[in-house]
Amino acid sequence: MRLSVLARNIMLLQLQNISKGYGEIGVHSFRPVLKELNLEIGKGEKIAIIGPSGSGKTTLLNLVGALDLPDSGDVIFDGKNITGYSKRELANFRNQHLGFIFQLHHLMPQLTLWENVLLPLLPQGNKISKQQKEWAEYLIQKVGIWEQRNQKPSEMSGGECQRTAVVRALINKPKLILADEPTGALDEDNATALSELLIQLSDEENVTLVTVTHSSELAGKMDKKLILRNGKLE
Amino acid sequence: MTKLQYIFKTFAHYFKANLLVALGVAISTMVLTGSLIIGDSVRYSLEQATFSRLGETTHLVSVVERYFRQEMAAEIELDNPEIKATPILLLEGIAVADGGQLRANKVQIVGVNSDFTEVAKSSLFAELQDNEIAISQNLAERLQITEGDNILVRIKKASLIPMNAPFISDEETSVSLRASVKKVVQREEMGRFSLKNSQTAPYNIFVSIGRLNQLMEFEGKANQLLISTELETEKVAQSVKNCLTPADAGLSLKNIESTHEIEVSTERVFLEDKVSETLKMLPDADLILTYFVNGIARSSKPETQSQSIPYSFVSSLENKFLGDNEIIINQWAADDLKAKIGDSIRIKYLEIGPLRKLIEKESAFILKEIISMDSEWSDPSRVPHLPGLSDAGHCREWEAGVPIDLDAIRDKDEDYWNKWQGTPKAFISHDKALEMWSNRFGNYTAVRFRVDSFNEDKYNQIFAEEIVPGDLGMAIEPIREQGIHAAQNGTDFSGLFIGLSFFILVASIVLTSLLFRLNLETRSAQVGLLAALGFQQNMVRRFYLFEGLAISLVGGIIGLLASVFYTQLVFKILNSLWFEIVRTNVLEINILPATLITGLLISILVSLVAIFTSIRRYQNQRAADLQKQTTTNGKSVWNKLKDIVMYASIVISVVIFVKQVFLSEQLNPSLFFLTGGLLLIGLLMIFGKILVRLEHRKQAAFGFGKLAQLNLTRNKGRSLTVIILFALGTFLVVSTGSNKLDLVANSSDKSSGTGGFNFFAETTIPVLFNINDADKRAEEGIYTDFNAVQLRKVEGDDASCLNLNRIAQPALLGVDAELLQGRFSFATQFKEIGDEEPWEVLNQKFDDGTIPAIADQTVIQWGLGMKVGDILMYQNELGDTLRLKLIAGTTPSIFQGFVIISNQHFLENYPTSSGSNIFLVEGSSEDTQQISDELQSVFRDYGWEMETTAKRLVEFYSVTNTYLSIFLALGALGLILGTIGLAVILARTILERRREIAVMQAVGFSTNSIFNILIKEYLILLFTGVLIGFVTAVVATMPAFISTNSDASFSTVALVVGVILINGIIWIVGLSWFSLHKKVLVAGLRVE
Repeated sequence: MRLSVLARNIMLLQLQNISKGYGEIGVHSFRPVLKELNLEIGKGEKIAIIGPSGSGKTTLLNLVGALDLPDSGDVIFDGKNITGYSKRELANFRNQHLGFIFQLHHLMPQLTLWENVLLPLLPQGNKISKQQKEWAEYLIQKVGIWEQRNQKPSEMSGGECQRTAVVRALINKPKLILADEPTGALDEDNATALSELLIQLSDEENVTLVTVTHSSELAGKMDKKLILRNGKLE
Repeated sequence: MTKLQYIFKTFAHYFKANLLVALGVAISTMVLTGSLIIGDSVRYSLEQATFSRLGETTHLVSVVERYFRQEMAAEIELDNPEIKATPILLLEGIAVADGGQLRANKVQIVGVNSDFTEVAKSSLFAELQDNEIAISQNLAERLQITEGDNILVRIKKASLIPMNAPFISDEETSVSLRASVKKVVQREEMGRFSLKNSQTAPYNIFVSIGRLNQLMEFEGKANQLLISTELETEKVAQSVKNCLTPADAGLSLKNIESTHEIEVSTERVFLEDKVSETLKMLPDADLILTYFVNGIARSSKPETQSQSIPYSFVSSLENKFLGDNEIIINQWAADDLKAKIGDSIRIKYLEIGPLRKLIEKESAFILKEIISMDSEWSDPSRVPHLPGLSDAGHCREWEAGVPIDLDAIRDKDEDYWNKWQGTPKAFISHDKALEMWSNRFGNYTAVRFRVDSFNEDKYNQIFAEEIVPGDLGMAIEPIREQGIHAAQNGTDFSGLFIGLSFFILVASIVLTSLLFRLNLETRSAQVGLLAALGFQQNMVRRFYLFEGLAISLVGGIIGLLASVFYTQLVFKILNSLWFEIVRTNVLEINILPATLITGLLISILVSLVAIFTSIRRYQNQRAADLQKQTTTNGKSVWNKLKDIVMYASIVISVVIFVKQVFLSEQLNPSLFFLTGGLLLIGLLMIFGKILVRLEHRKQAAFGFGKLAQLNLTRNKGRSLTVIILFALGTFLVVSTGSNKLDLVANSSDKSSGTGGFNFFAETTIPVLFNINDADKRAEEGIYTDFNAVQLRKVEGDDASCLNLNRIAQPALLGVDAELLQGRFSFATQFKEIGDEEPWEVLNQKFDDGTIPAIADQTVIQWGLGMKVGDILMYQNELGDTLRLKLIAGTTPSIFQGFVIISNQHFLENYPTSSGSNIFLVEGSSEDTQQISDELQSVFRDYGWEMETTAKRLVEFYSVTNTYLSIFLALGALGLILGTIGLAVILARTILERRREIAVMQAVGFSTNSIFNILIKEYLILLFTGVLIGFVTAVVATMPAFISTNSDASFSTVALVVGVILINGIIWIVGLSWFSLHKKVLVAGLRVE
């Protein structure tokens, strides 16, 4: 517990004066989404971002996840400004430090559960080490889908697919997990189970969790709830 | 799991979708590799045709209208044991069967002996008896005869004396042979024997060379030597030179006992310049020129019958004996003319011009001396041997090749002939004789030496030293090498079929790219996911490229297999429906591993480029967009650049069009094609822009049409792809169809390809007289009025587009250029001749010694691979190099296959050429049938083959039109592919839109309303594409529409466009209906 508190005091992510819009700046059709937004997230922190539809939650998540770049402002991750990174550096950054969970699981239909989980390891080399495999096995066992490891997504339930997506997000031992409506496509029981699993795993692995959600249940389990409104966090 | 496993699993998972992409690759591979195989096969077949027509022959020693000893072959083999030589006597003839009902003109009569078995590798030819012949398969089929049947062969009479030489009778122009067919010779037994570079097999009749010599009244003569050796041409030429003897120049020695002289004379009557010059080098050479004159008269008194001696020989004496204006006559003549020394004596004689045009001339002399009948000059042997004249029993039996007034011959003339034969009655000086009687066949009739000063060894030696084969018109060529070169460099069918399949290739590549992109679109979320998981862009690209490689490989292999069937199909059609362009049934498929690998590699590379482009486009969209499966607009700089290209294309095309239509005197087809092409690009880009505008346009009016328009903008890339496919397809098909030539339309115009002539005729046996001559017509029984232009011909390779080989020496024609002035049109003209009509320049000679020549532009460009201004080399009859400068190329004309020079230059270079083989006949249109009937009947035995000029043109240009038909057929196939592309997009889009369709149904749209929206949407694409293609094609081919020689008619074009539209409509309506009314969509909706 002490370790956790200590860790939380260390800053993992800072968004400084972030602005982002769509369309060509200066043209009347330009639509600003985020305006001079600031955010600080400590290591191990669990944050829920909520807000009405179209408020820019996913845009914010894309910026945090280095999938998109801000029009202005800086994204500081672990003390490093990633806004100046090249495409190659950003790809490496995402692979090594981030884990993504989407509303739709986005598992590769051509791969089995086991292979889907191992997929993020491929950019690091062609060989998957024994330790990596043991780690994958541990996580799959942990989320309770070991029996389904040789099944393809089409043969699995929605909950099982989403749990696989959670394992895939953790396979590279990321510092930050970004979840975009992770329970949005699940029924109530599965949504509850997945929420608990996410909290449990992020606690156990000391991973920072940022989730965008409409689910008050999931948001309520987070350390902090931030509301995105008019392009700013409240 | 490894990356490779990932790729493999992905490929396997999406196998069905990938198979569709592979289909696109397979089609492009099939067409590309098929085209390469076709090219290889045609080349291979032509090479094989060379081997089968030449057998073991590597070199050819040939002469034209002259002959050498058969023994030369054996002597050459002795001179160089590495050479095998086979003499043949090659003549032309006509074969007749079934009582004249079935005939074949232009038949090769090949006189062979047992040596030919070596060349042909068949013992058959050694066994031919005098009354037996062997014939080629195609002749047997033409005459519908088989082994054991009898046929009549009319063979062009060969003569040791050039047929057009003065005083040679032209009565007997052919010799008949009735023989039984011992064997029908197949291809592998040299049935296709030919010395010409052409894939078309000639009709062949093989006969014993001894029998053929007998028929021609020859002894042991041949005119071709087939050489088989590994040696180079120079060594062969050296051996030929080593074995040349005076006999091969037709020379013989005669002991003139009465004068104690040895005479060298020639069986050709006149000694060629080089020969007489050589003989002059021997000591005490006395040159003689004896000529047949019409009359010798004394001119001191008014001329009476008794004072003129008709038809006599006059001989030349050395200049030392008499001056140029002096004459010596014999006592008999002096008595007859009552002439005395100092009297004026006139000689009337005929100068024989081309086509035996006779010009009577006269020269006056002063009588210097009268010699007795015992004088050594009163010698009948001074008269050369002239068959029909010098050997006639009586004067009244003379056959002199010139008109003889038998009434003018008196009894005393008969008495003189009986007593003194042809003994010359008068003598003039050498110089004067040469001035009067020198002709293109030679200057002297004999050279005499005193017996005591003549040394036969020295005579043979000087001949061997001075005379080279070329001096005797002998050409030595590496004929096999030339044949293979011609085969290898002939019509490039690979390039041709790649060109002809251009649209099908483009369509299949676009289809590959399109289908792969559709695949990517389905999986765009995966691209985004991989980016989110930290995969580098190039790694993701590599995944898809490897997948693309696997697809291409599968497609490529399927395509390779299909290419064999494709080639078989094309060859089947080439040997039947498209026979026009190959004219042979010897095409064999030849598949080279290297070609398959090349075809596969190129196809894979092209497919990968198409796939790579698709991937790049996707990766250029941001990872976040892909993850959401949305798209954003491209960069503004790129958009601006596209705008510049679009406006530039439109402006340039409009400027060129206006300038060409309103300001130029002559329409330039290339510029119009450029205009059409630019307009096509411009209009397609405008449509792309319209799609963007439509998307952003705010409009109050809203209805089904508007809904359809908006749907088009949903995926602009797909919409544009459909438009491009249809526009390009329509453009190519319409523009190709418009360029089909209709050469019959204005065939009566003098400026057309017929030159205004009604008929083109060719004979196997040359006609020696002028068929325009009224007397001759009356004599032959020609009563219909017409005008004919006669052309001389030296055989060569067929340079028309009917011959697939690359040829170097097309047949050469000689014509009186003034007769063609104002006829035909010229596509190209050598700039140095300025504005002068090329026919007018034909008689001139260039400073560099080259001779002007004209040919059909198609021959220059495709047959010869040359351009106007280039120089074409021949070896003339004298052994010299004849350099022809191509000064103009005619527009499509009946002269395809020939090179034309003036008669004047022709006769200078081919002096012994006899008569005309080609006739252009012009007459009143009402009389054409009668002209045709009369000429066919009169010249039947000459092997007269006549066709209307319009038909001849159509036959030549059926090749071009066949190519265009192939292009159209393959273009249509490409359009079908394009339609498949449209169908795939349509099906895919309907499936993608199942949610919105469900919503529309939910809010009360009937299925029919939705069906209307869908088909409107795609009909807009179809009609826009076809309209753009059609308009730009019409602009591109405007000259063809205006030209009277073109087959372009709006009805044809409308038909083509109609077919394209109907095809498209069927697919659109059918597929939309099927998707909406059947279970496909319902199933999709249930899944949703």
